[in-house]
Amino acid sequence: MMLAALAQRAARLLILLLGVNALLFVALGLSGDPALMLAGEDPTPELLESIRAEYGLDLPAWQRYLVQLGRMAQLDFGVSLYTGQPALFMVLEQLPATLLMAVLSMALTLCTAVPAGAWIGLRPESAARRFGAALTAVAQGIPGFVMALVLIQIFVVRLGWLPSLGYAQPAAWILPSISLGFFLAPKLCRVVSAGVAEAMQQDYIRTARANGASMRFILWREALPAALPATVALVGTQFAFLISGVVLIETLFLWPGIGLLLLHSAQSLDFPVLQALCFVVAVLVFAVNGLADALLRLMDPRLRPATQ
Amino acid sequence: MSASASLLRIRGLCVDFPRGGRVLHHVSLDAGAGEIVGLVGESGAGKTLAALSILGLAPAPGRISGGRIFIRDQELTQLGEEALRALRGRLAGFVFQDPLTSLNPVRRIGSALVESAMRHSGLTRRKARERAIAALRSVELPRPEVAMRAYPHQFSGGQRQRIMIALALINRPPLLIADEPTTALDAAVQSRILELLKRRASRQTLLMITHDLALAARFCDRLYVMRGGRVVEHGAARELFSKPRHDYTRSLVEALPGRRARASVPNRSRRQEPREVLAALSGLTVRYQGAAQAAVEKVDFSVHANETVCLVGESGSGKTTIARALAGVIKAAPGQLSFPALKDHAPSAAARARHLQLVFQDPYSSLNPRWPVERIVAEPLRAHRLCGRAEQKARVTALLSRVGLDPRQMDRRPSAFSGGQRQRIALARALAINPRLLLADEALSALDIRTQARILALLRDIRKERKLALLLITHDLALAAEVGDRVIVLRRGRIVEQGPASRVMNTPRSKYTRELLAAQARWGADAHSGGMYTSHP
Amino acid sequence: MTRAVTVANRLLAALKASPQLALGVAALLGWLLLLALSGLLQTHDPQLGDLTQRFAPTGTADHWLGTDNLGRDLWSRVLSGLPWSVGVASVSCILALLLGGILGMCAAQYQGYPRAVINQLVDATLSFPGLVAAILIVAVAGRGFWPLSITLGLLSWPVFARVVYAESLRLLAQDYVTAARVMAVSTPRILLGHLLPGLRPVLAVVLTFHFADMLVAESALSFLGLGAPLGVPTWGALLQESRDFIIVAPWLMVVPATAIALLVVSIHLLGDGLSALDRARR
Repeated sequence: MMLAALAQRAARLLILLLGVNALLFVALGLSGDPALMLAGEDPTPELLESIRAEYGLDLPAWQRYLVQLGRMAQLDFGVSLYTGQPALFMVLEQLPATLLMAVLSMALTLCTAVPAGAWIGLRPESAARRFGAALTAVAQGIPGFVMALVLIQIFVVRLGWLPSLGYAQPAAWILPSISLGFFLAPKLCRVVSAGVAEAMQQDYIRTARANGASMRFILWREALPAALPATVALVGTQFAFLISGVVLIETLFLWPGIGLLLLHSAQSLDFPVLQALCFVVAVLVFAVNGLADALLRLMDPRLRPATQ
Repeated sequence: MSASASLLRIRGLCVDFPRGGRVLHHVSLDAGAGEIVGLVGESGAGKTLAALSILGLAPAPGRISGGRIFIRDQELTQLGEEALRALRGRLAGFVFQDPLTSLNPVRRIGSALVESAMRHSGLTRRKARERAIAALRSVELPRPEVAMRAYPHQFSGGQRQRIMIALALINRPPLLIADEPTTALDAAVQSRILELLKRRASRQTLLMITHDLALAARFCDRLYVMRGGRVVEHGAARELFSKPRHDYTRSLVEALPGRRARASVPNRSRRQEPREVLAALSGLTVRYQGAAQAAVEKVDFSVHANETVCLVGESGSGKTTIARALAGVIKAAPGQLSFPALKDHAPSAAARARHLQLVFQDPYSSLNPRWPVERIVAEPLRAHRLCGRAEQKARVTALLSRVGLDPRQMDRRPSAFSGGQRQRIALARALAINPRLLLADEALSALDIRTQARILALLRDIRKERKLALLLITHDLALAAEVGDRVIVLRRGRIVEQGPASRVMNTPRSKYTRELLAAQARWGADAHSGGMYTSHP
Repeated sequence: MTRAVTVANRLLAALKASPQLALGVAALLGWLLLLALSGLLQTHDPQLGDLTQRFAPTGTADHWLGTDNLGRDLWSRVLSGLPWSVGVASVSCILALLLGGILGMCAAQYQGYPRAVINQLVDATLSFPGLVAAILIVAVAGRGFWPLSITLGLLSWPVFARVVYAESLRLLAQDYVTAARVMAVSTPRILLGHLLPGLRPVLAVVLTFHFADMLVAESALSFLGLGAPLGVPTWGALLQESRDFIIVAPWLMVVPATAIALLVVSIHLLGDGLSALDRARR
């Protein structure tokens, strides 16, 4: 069962990669003659000719596509049209910064959203918690990058407490991580609270109460374990959304990650880098989804293959 | 029973809901030490609420507004939530109806038992574990050590209910409260669980909540009958069952299958003349995709004009699959299903629909909640273009009146009707295109027993009046015996026995039928005067 | 006539039952009014600057929301950007709804290959970050109303397809649909009579939230300089312009930020109200 799920995921990854690749290939064809871009100003016909020969641009489209596919299979995405560095290398160089921010903000999200959600879900009808629920609903409505702008305005411009730019000092990590946290935390909080609230309605909670369990015990040992699988599933499915957030936040804070690289490469139509970026992003999403899936199986015994 | 020997005493208990008003009205109840007391009534009578209120478990925002509750002379109504919590599980254990939803799906069986034992009896984890294993052994669960590490979904329904009983008894409470403990289980499993309860709770007081009067009469020492939040009658079980004093109790007793008048038994004697075959199954086999076993395997039977055939089986026996194949929802392999009366080897869907109609089990999902009743009943008329818009209203009016509904309500939606009324609407819809064969797939099992009796009477009348053939699919042997000309018993997709109803009931040939009969008879038979299954002519 | 009355009555009852929904509907009506009157309410030409009035802060007599670096009136600019954003969100929503709705229903009704292919496509698309894909496409296809709307629609139809598929499966498994099949009611009749009306509540909820998502996506892309063409002051573009003046003129950031947040929150309010209504009905 596990293997079949993995195979299905791998197939999906392959479809995705082929799709994105084809899309980019067509886009490249539409965006004009790359040889002209590479040649600089006032190219001679001989120079163009030699560039075409060098990059294989003189071949028919379908041959170029196949050649490119073959290279990609060997993880060769070519060199950047601007820096001349290998595209994959450029992406991998920027990746750690992105991962750092992603991990920090994910930790932040989990540490705030899960307890808050559990607190709201335990007795959703009480006034304070209704207010909390309304607050998360509002927070969910505010787009993450707008929130980031507001945070910069408050903590950098007005109060001067935190630096907004830079990557070298840990103090500069705080604001980007919090901002990115805003992309997922309100949604997660609502899922946890809904999950806990639903679990509290279940018959097994009545069983636990009839056995003399305390409210705290019921929350920690009965309701939360039942609600957590949905939470993990959400993190898995929303990871792609989080990457979208990364692009925005990195642009805002000039954070040297793959998001910033994406924007710059897209603006300058640096296709080899874009290819490599899409590959890395797809693999990343694939890995995180697989991880979430495995975690889900660990948490919900009903998803495991039968042993008895 | 003297008051001093009484373990549980409830005096004038009232429970109010802020919006719903008073739900329990001055309920009084006594249960002596070692006694089995039954609390009987239809759904909504307040039985469960009364039992939950004993240890302050009434669902919020319900509130005890009057009366007193004692266990062993300790007054519980005076206690706060924390004090009550310390008593739950120690003074009274609970067994609930649905063992699947009553156990947390993501927790191991062992952890629930061990934690409960540690909480109340102050045991170390090791001692608690030993006690948990002993408790599982005492409810006769196979391989208790392995079971401790397993999850609820890995057990069958009966095994889960055994685990629930172990959990309720692990702190050895003097009172065990069992709320419909066998309703979600198959008949054969039911009797084993009841026996277990009786054996395990021999030194305890057992408060048994059930809607099944026959079962309660056999199983309990004394009975309390509830209706609309009030106790209407109580007394020794057998006496109350054989000589009910209150009208309501009497109507309950009379509605029991086998108890209902079987004065008119049409067709039973005149079976000589050859009759038209409406539907014939020959070797019907259905296998669902990915399933290891066929849902239905090599089933042969036929339904003739103007007869009632009962298809009896427990859940998973394939009876619904057969109904769906007959109705054309599932495609049968060529040659396995035919309709000789249609004189057409491959009848069109429309011809088949006019030949055969289906009434479903769940009256809540079988009617589109967004449609008014008129549109629901007229759906087949419109689909088959049997009448214009002008005539439609008249046809629907006639149909609704026939099934005993007020035609003036035809522009209401299904949510405005009760379960029994909805089943009448579904019946009207099925009758709209004048089928010759009516399939009723557990069409009565979601209804209260008295409603069941009324719908059954209606079905019979209509059957007689329209000369319909009826294929009644049910898990209830007693019901089948009462209405069926012929009975077919199914088990795991195969027919184990078929024959005239009286023959199958009196001299069952297969072991399985005997088991089913025994399971039902044990809890119903000798509570009836003269016995239930032996009095057929 | 009577039908209209009952519908109105039920609507009123629903609004009374859920203050959230009532608030959402009220907010929506407010926004619609603003949208309809956006031309009339503009006090200045949104494109015409007045260099004597540069960086007038919020609360200035003639420019109640302030002015930007070229002295253009912020209130007029905010108003004039609204129709463009709403237009993009509407077109992309309709496109996604049609594509996703039809494909989702097909996947539910036709087992086997159609279902497998559609579901695989849905899963693959949803597992790729939408904004990344949008950036790639828009970078090549260029800015502008139609490229942006179509890109967003093509990237987001799987959201509808997934919901419609799941809900259709649930509805088609209901006994009343089986009953209709037993009565030999034709498939188009079942899809139109039973399935589509049944999908309506869920679609209303998803559509509402999706509209908000599309507004956010458009503003995010405009903010990155890839959405609205130069000169169209959508709120994302206004935010982009404001970044250079974050210290001298914070209102240039605060006003469009607040506007986006208010719009999205009020649409979410409506969505939450609708979904609560849908849950209560079940």
